Amino acid sequence: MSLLEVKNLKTTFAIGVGTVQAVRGISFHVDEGEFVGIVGESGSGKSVTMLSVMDLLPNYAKVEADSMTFAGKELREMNARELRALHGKEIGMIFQDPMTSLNPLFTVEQQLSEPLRIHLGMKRDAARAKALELLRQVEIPDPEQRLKQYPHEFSGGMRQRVMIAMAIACSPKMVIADEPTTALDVTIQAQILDLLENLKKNTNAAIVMITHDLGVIASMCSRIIVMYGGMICEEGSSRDIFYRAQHPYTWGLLNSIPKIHHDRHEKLVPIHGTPPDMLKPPAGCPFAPRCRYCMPVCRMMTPPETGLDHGHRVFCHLMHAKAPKVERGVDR
Amino acid sequence: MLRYILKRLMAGVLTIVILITVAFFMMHAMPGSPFSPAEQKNVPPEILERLAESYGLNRPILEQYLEYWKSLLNGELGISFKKPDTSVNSIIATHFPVSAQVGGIAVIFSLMVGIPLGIVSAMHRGKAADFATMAFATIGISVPTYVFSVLLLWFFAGVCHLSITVWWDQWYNYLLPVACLSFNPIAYIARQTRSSMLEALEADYIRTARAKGVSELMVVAKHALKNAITPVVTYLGPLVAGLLTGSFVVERFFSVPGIGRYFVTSVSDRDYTMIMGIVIFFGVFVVICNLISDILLAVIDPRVKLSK
Repeated sequence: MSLLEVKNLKTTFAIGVGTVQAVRGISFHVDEGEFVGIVGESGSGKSVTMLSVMDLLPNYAKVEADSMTFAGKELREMNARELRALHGKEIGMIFQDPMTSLNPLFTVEQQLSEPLRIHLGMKRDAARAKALELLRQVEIPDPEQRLKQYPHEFSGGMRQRVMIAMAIACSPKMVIADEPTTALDVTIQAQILDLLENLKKNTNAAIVMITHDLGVIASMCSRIIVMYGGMICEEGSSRDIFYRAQHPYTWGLLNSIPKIHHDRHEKLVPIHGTPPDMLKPPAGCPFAPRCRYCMPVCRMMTPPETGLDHGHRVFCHLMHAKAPKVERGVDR
Repeated sequence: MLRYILKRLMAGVLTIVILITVAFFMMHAMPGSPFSPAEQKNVPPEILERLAESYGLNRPILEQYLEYWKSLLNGELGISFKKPDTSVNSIIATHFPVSAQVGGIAVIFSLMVGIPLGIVSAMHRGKAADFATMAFATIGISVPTYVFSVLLLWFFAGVCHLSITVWWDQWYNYLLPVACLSFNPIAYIARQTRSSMLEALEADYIRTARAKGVSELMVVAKHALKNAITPVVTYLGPLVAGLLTGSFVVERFFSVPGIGRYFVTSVSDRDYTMIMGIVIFFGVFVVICNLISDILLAVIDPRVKLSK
């Protein structure tokens, strides 16, 4: 059963010079306990998508959707109080920059026990005990001492662990991780990813991981959604995306990942061109201007969904029966 | 913490010593003197000469300076030149409490009005409430206190014929002086709170708090306000020192028997001991208020290290 079901989500930002169309009608779902990755470059709308679901966008953002349900309940019909009851309890969120995402003026204990007190009605001592347990769970050494400290006394990786502890405090049904490792250096990245992987094993929470790094989620995700220009290009299981990718943008992403057995003189293959201007996104397929296989129709019509096996979905005109057969650009 | 306070107090003492020295010599460098024949035309010069001698004004300036320190170390600020037989200590002791009372109320009033105004206008950014508050704040910052005092005086005494400004024996006598004293600080605090509040509300940790399901009231009152309040706390030191020691203009206009008037009259009277007394008193007050506001800042913000 789907835990989160989003149909035709459109998110726009009214700014001085026009309207930024950040998300342009996407539909997807997250099942209970699954690990979904949302991949795309900066500005592809991946973070905005999940922030729309969480109702955490600034008030100049406009969120429209045919439906947006969580555990069968329509999110758009909820009032502020009902949404708050969901936030932090049913849905936990981990943000990109652990350096700024914790309040500098409150101790880790105060911040960690806040959701426990709000949602579970815990008293001070109970909340402290639970907070200690959470710090142990995210493998922070010397938790008794750490609990009394302020965020500035923590390293970036340790702060991100605190963020994770905070997100899972009330045993949520879903955890959204918005580029949780982008701001961290590589070794710390690996540790945080390990931690998230353990989380997946030890809890039955669904995890939605937003990233621009396909490599980061390759081994972890059961399903990957590739986004570009506010739309979904391709969605499928990890294997579908890595071995049976159908969309030229996915190919481009795969080609630009450095491989460990690469000859060191071999060059990475970039995707030429620049991301679309979301103030006036091109008609048709957003990737068309950068696509090697672009056909006239691509610049006119938004590509329809083509369903393949096991929920593998592709949004590309090349999937049409009469389209020319093109070579897969992935050498694997 | 204790070491820091001691260190700051020692630095404060040094500041005061320098202040006393500079003030003392500057005061004597002023043209004219308390008993100069040119100014006191009604008093025979021989008497003026005798007076000057009795106050030790004929002695070398360095000797007077050392003499002053001697009495100062005994806790004596000396006898006023203008009001014979009255010590500066007792003048301060009688008049300061009045100023401190009026000023203290004004400080509390400024904070209680300024901070909420700032918060409200930050939360309604770009809307009518914001524009109204900021228009008020701009006026409050740019209109000098004496203009505002005159306007109030004209309105209440001149137009409404209320005698609330004449004597100093009723609770309502406090209204106008407090209003005048807090006018400017309210505007400043509102502006400051608004801008730091806007910054805080945009911060990532506010988004985190919302993602945790913290109520909007607590997001603003707890998570954002604690971060937004620090510039106001920094401003609090000079503000408290300034308001508690009274204002010449406001006290004159509303017949407040405070210490504020002596800041000006002592200088024009060439009342040497009174000038020094006021300077020292104000200096010590500023040093202590700044120390307290720095400590308060460190209490609020753990990243502020008191040892530095």
